[in-house]
Amino acid sequence: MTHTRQASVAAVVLSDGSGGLDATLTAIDQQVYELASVVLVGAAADASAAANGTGSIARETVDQAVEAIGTSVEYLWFVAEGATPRPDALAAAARDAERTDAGVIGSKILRPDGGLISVGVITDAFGVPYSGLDSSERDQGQHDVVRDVAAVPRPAFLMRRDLFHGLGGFDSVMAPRAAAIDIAQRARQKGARVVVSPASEVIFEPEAHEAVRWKEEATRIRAVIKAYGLLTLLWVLPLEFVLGLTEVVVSIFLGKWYGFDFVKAWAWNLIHVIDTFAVRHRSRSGAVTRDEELFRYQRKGSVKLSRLTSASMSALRSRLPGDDRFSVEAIGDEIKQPAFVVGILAVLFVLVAARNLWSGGFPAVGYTLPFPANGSDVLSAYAGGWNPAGLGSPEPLRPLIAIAGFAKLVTLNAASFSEYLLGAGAMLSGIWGMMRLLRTWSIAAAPGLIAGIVYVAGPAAQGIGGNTHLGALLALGVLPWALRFVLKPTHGDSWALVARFASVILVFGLLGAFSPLFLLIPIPVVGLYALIRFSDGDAWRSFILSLVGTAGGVLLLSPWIWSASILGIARSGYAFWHVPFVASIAGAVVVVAAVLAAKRPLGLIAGWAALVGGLGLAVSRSGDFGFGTETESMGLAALGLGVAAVVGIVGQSVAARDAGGWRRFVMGIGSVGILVLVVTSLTIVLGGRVGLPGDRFTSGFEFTRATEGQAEISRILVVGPRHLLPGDSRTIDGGAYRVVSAPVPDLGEVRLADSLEFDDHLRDTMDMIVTGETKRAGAELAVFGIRWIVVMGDGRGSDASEASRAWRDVFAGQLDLLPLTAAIGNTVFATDIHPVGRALTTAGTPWSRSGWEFSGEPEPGRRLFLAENPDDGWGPGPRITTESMNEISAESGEVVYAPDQGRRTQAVLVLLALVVLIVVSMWGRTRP
Amino acid sequence: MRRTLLLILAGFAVVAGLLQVPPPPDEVPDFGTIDVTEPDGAVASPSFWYCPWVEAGDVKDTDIMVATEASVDVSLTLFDPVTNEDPTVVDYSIVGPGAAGVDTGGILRRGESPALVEISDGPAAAASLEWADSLLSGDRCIVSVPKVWYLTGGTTKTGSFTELRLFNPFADNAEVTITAYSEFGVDVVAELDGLDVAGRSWTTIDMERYLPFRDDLAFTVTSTNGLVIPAIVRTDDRGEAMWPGSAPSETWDFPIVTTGGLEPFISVLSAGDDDVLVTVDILTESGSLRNAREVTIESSVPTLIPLSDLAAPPYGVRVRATSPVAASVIAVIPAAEVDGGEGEVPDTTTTSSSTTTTIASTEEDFIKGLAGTVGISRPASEWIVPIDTFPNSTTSLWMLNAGASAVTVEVVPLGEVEYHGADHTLTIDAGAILGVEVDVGIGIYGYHVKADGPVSVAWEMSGDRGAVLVTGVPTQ
Repeated sequence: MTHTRQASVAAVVLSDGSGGLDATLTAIDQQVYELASVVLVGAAADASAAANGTGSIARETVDQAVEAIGTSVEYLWFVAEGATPRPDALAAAARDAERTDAGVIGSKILRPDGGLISVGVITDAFGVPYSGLDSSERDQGQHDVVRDVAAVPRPAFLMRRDLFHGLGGFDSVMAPRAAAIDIAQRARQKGARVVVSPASEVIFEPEAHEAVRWKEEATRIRAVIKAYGLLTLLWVLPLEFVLGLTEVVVSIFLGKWYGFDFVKAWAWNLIHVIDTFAVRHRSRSGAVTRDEELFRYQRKGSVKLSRLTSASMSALRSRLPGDDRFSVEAIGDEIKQPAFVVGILAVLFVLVAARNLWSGGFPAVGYTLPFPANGSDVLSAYAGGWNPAGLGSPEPLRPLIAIAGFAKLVTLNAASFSEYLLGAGAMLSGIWGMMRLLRTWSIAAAPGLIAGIVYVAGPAAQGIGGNTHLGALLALGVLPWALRFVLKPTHGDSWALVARFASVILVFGLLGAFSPLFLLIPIPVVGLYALIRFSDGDAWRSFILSLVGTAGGVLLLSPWIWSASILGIARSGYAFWHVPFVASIAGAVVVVAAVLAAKRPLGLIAGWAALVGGLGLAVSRSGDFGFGTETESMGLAALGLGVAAVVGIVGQSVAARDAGGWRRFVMGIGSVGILVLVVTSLTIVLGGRVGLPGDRFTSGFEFTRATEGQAEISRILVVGPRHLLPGDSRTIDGGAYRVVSAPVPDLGEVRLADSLEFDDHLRDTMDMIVTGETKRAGAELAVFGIRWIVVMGDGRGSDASEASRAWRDVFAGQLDLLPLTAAIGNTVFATDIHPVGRALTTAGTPWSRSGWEFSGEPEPGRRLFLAENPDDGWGPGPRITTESMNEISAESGEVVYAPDQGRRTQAVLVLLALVVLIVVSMWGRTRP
Repeated sequence: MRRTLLLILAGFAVVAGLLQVPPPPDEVPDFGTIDVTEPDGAVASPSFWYCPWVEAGDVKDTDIMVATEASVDVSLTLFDPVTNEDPTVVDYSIVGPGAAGVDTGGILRRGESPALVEISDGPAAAASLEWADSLLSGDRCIVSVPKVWYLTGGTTKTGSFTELRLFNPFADNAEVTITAYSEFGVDVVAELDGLDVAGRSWTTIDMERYLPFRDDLAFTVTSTNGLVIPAIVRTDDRGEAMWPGSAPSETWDFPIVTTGGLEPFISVLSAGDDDVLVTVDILTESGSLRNAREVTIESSVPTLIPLSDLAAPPYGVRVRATSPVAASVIAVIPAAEVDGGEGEVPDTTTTSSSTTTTIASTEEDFIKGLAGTVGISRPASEWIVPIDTFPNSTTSLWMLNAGASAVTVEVVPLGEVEYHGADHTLTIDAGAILGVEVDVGIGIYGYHVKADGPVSVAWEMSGDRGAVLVTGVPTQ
């Protein structure tokens, strides 16, 4: 032992009960550098027991330990349980500390076999540690240089006592690795150097001391929040969220599931957000460096992304046949065990098929409109708030809008990311779900992938996309999961059954939220399944599950479900799917091949799928029976489901080793049909919009932004052929019209509520206009806040549609409407009347609309006319109805709508139910 | 077995689906204003009247008369010939029942300036009358705006001129196609195809430039995009007349065709592709002369039917046709006045006269003027007639009863003040016309005519300024 002039270092051994404490204490005792004292920190009993006979003392917390050490020591040497420093480790660290004047000095961490674990830690901007070492790299002194690093490895590091005390010690709620990074960052913010001393070697086996992953993730995010300034946090946190999500999705294909960790980590931070910001305030006060100083020791890019990329490439390389094995047989082997390759192909397909959603979100066309800008506004509107469609209504919005709001909320209201997430996610989920559903009948991943692609992109899915029913398109991603959850055999005890019920209700609720009519699919489909497998108890249990799921799912659609007319939804429009000839022939070939040639029990499943598909086709063309386009989409979903199932069955059967003779021949013919269906499905990638048609309204209404501030205060009257109008429309004398917000209506405006007083007033006004009773349509429509009239479609020339021409003639014959030549494609008129506004004060000042609210300059003593259907919820009061619109006070400068408390309570109860269902189903999954 | 059964059931379902019928074709809007050539009428609601022939300058003035049953606010908009200049707007009120006349020369004098008369309630109607020292010209204004207009009665023969004025009071640009018809049939003029008329403006086309030396001219004006209100303006060295377009009809009433000693003709154009037999009935104050003239007119060939040899003035005319025709009356200086009696009557028509009435030689003063107006396609029992009077001119209201029984009419003069002459309750014999001379100088600007049977109403004025024929407006 080297006796120092003054023993200036005290060792703090951090015990966590993971084992190896004796070895650690022995190694500390063998240090050549004299220690002033050794303090064990951890569970009292363990620490005391270990301290006995070693001359060390035990304390429960680090703070107590530091207090016990006293102020005479200069450095604290933190050593984790299980770490065994070499005898000269402390001496080397102390020497380098003196030499570099560093505040935190880390050691080189080695495996017992000499493998390198860490020589200092650098992180990315998100606090993810990165060693820069290869997993098999051995220590040959190649990294032995004393240098500044972002953080030091947690097994052993030296730290100035006064610095540690000044920083307030470790963050007690943090996991070890995050705590080590956190304290290094805080030290650097106070101006201290953080270096690594390679001469100080410590042996450690990290695998034996891993903390809970989600806790590490959660506290790493906390460390990030504490470390950076607000400006940096503005971009770091959203990116962190996105990266986390990406990791969850990609890891699935690497055979890992981080979804729950992700949710838990962010939930933990949400719960601790107040405490985190309080600690952040303390840690940043007195900081002498800015965020840039932290950036100096960080690597560019994302460590997580790099790891994911590296892992993906590695997995891909391992899956691809090598040069020496490149043969049909080798490829066949891969196809039979293709989890990863299949996953990559599915992701690639979705990435290409949804590429245009990334930049532009969903196209604004038909019943598909962009998500509203603010997620919390949307959720508030769903929970008893104002329905903004047309001239407004207190009628509840559809649950799809709540999903859109939630997606907006979790993506921090990013412009189009939430739409990409849902669009691409639904497609991916549909493929994956179809693979899992087919797994019920032991169909392998490769045919499952093909079936999945046909399901989400085939002719039926394209039909749904053509209908522009966004909810139905997204529900395609949930439907196979709903069936999978009810069809998979039930195992386990009663708790597992409870968790199963919870999962089923959750999935059914999600299905119904996307498209209420889709909730009608599982019961008949599973009922048929049970009938054809009459003696199979599991099938009947599945049927019961589907009943429970449907009932529970319906309840989750509160508060909307209580005022909705399912029959009205089912009968809106005219269901008639134009059957594509070639694809239908191909589908028929596949169906016949599957039913005739598949061996038991797949043949029976094929028959069931064929019947489901056939019934779906019949439903999709049932307009003559009074059913509408949403029913058509529902039928198409069933058709797609049936066809995809038989595609999977044919794919499975044709590759079966025991398939031979006539069966193989028939399946070969079926394979040709599959090929046609796949080629047809691949055409969906051309648009890059998951099968939705091109944008119509964003570009068509772009002109409303030409004059700043006008769009926010005005509405657009859209007229023309019904199929060219946004969402629902009303009719007058055979002409379709509807009112939307400028500049582009959002998803909240798709479905018109029942006509109310102000709607009737608009209808009377329209009647005056179309019958020629007035030639001043501009003045008449200004009352409704309508500044522009857009006649959709070609209204002039020989190719003009009758409806467009008729509407154009109506408005061309008005005296106070100016034609706008800047509009492309459609005919546009702008009113010549001033002022125009959806909310106008008695002084004629328009108030602008932002989300669900109106605001403007307060005008004491004046009143405001709000061009929405009259409702007592509008305020501030006193509110009266004037000429079918709301007249309220203009004194406060804002217009508020008091939500319906009953509906809000229902929505909150649904939220609570969702939380409970999620917890129960997660618990059921993770329970041993 | 089960799978086969399932396959068969699936097949049935597919067949059931394939047998379904596609949706009916998209509904085409049925708006009342589209492609329907409704006759102009006064309605009991706000109305907009378009007057293309307003001019006020150093020579001409124009009076705009509004007659109304209800108390109304009137907004008179005079468009500016300079593009994008705001029009001049004058607002005034009329206590109803009443009528008022406005001299646009008192508002502005910038030459041609078509007007829009916006009346807040009704029934009400507007008319305009151009006048100068030696000029009277005008007609009722126009309220309905069809996509296709028929205009008859034009000519570009030596000494006569015909212009088409296309007035677009709306903001949207209009694109129109003018099809010309002459004694040669359809006269193709490429320049008149796809003609643009800018919004809130007007254009006047001199037909002599495109179609010189045509004895008879008629036009159809079709709006391809937007809407226009066309009017025909015919001039010669003795006067000027203007009248609006009309819709085709199988029956046309002209309560008065004779005025100021002018010689009347009916100009007819078939709206169809077939030859049409046109029959002219003459209605005088004492009775009618049915089938006074029968003319077979060819499709696409405008025909001028002479009337002066059928009866002695005053008289009205009913025109009946075997299929819809457009018709107007033109009253011109008698041929005898122009060139000593050489025939004015064109010989391009095949006429057969069922009467031997001869033209009475007249010893009259120097005759001036040119008059014309469109007919009335549907008699009505109630009429609003904006009217104007001038010193040294005689104004008469004429009512035609083409029915089989006598009709009692109540004629109420309308003016700016409460008393504007006595009401008249008159009886019109079956198949006769009846005239009421308007008191001049007491502020009468209109008449309300109410009958217990369908009648047709028009008025005429003649005097030292010339002559004018103006059609009344039925109350709807």
